[in-house]
Amino acid sequence: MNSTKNGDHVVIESLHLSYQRWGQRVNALDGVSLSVPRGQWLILVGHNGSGKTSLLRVLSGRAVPDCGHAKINGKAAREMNAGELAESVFLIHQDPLLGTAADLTVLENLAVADSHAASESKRSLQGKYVEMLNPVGLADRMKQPVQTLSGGERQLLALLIARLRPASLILLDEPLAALDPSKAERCLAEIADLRKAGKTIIQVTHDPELASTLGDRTVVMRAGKIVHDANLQARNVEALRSHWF
Amino acid sequence: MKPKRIVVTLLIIAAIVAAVWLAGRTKTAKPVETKTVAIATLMSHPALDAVQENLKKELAKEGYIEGQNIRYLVRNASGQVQLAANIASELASQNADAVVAITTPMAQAVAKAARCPVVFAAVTDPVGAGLVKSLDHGEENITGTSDAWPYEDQLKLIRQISPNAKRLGVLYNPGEAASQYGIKEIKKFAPALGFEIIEGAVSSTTDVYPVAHNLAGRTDALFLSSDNTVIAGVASAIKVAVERKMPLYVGDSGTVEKGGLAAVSVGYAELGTKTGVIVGRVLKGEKNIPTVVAHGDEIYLNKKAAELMGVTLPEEVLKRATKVYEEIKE
Amino acid sequence: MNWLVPIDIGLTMGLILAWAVIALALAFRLLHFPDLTIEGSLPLGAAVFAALYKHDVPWPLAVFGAFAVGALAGSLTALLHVKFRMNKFLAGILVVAISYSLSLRLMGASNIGLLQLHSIFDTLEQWDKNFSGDFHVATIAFLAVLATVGAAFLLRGLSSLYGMRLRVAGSNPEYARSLGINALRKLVIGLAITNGLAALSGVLLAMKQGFADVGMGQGVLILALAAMTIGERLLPQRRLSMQAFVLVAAILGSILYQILVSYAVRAGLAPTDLKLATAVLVLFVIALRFSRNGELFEGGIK
Repeated sequence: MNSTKNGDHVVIESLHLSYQRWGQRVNALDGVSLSVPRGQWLILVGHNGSGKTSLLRVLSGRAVPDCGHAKINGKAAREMNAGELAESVFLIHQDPLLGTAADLTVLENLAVADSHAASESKRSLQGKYVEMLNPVGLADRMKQPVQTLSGGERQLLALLIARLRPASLILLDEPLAALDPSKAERCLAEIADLRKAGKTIIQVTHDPELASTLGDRTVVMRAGKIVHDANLQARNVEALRSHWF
Repeated sequence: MKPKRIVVTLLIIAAIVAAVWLAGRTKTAKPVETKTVAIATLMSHPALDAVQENLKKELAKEGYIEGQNIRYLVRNASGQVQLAANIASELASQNADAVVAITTPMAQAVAKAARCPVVFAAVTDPVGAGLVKSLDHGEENITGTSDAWPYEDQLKLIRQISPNAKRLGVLYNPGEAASQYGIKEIKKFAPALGFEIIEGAVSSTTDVYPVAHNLAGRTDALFLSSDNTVIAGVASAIKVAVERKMPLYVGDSGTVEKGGLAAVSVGYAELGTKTGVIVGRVLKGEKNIPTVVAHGDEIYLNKKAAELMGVTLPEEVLKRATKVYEEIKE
Repeated sequence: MNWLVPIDIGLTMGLILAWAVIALALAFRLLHFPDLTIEGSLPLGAAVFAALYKHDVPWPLAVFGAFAVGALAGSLTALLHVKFRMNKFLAGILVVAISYSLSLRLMGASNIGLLQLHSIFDTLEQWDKNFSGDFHVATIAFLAVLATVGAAFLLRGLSSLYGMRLRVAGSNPEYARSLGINALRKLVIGLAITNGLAALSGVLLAMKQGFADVGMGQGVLILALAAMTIGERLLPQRRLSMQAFVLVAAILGSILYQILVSYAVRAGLAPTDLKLATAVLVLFVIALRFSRNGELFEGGIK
């Protein structure tokens, strides 16, 4: 296990989270400790129910742990108000429909997420967005409502939005799961771009192939605990698989 | 929206407006001989219908034969207060010689929109409604008849038929202008005649049964006030009265026919006739006619109801009655 | 020219009631909130206005008061839904009931006559009587200008950054949260504004018809729903932003609906039949749209 370093971007210590389901107490997180340095691209793998989504939920402030803490830049997520959370962390869901506002246009979705939007003129903003949208082929759809975009396109948009957000911690909950291969490729390129821009990324996936090739570090979870934590050099698919089952 | 778009929209509106304005300047020709009388009512029920019927009969008596030298435009809002303005505007454009407006909200809407003389009918409180400044002084273009219910006489009749009744349960809809006025008047006269008034507020016709039922347990007699909502639910009130063997007093003859025990009524037929007389005067060009208030002194009784409710009708009352119904009309 | 009169009346009544339709349309389409409150905030607006007028309050203040109380009603509905987790419909119905009692209390009666009030409509009516013959050109022009300016104002607001945030809160409250937008607060503000507008409709209607009556609101919901549906069906969506489309469709629909009603009244159709016809029309149009593409809003061409 990596030792906890207090200077890291994300510091999770002895996190416990449980909830009731069908009358039974389920331990979603059972003593999880993890430390993520700034700018790292961490891949989180595990089965459904292993606790990876719960970890993201605690980090994004959507769930309050029973004990332990999840700190971003030294401050616990549960102690942050909505505004602070919005500035520190940004979560992208697996379901592309959840990551954007369907009624608004592509342009408006970008503008609303852009923390600098208020200070710039409409023209310069539009120019900036066109530049962002061109590489992904969405520039001509700028004035159209997001509803008209396909799932893959919406996920791409969500990633572009992540670029505009002030948050330096980006949480991705199986972002590629609902996409076809070509779109997934494109999204991966976007995520790599985010990483290049200096954001810290925690990406959840259930695909061990992906997990062994992506990012800087892989963490495997099972039944609410971390069972394997390796960085790029040390890992391979076989080692991963052994922790899987 | 860019300013240019707004300007263009306004210009388009201006163009349409100009076109329509020009078109509207041609007035519709109308044969001078035929008079047009518009009749607008908020809703139908026996009393109001009687007004309309007799108003036409009176005008026929004065020589205005429908189809020959008078035509009637009848509009009914079926209880929708919202349509009042629409109907009022529509009738105002019809170039009528007079508009008859039945019920308070309709009278108000018509008075506001009309470009011709207005005759209101069956408005319980024309002064309170803002239609006329006072009952005696006639307005230039507004006049009409008021069916101020003879509350004092009604209470007196109740006292005669039920000498031992102390607590009187009154059902009314506070949402109707006439009823609010009515309940005030009833409370004014009650103490002198030894009555204690217990109010039963009803907001829709379906409330009549539960409210009547509730009141029946706490009172000696029930009274339905001058209220469109309550009158529409008279059947359920009668049911309660018969179940509990309690007298149910009402306020107009139509409702007595349906099974109310007794009423001192404004004869709505007579009110209709009186309205017709006023319309006749208006058609001749008369202005500033003071409001005609119908004072009810007709007594209506229902023997069958008395039997079912376990009430004996005193002889002198039966003798003074204008009409005694033998059966309950369904 | 007589057969054109229902168009005249339809335009007048349509533009007066347009604000109530806009209220429903904005709440329904942009905030995803089927707001039943308008059935209460419209008569409430009229009641407040009439009550204030009766106490000799100058009319601009009375109008403002009406708007404010309508806005309060809307915020109450939003709060009930948000804070007490009340179902959207129930929250609206509850506030309608409250508005009814409040209207009665404020007016001190179920009906206040406004015949003595010399409102803008009377001034316009004078002009119309002398110069416009059968048609109320001045009245309609005034109302049209009011509607255009008001709609432009609303549009500007909705297209601004703040308006965008409001719309995000309505479109996807979860997502709004991750952007740091307080979806709860936005809903309260949104419904406050829409119901303030509905109250204004009530004020205009009371001025036009010469009275404020506690029963004025009955049927407003069906009316607004029908008008909104008609407008959205007939207005082409090209080149209009969603906000613009909703606003223009509401106004257009309100006018068309009132024109239909006026023709029906003139033809002697009993208003009860009219209500049934309205409901059938709405059902028909909704069914048509659902069969098209399963979406209640045609957002561009797929």
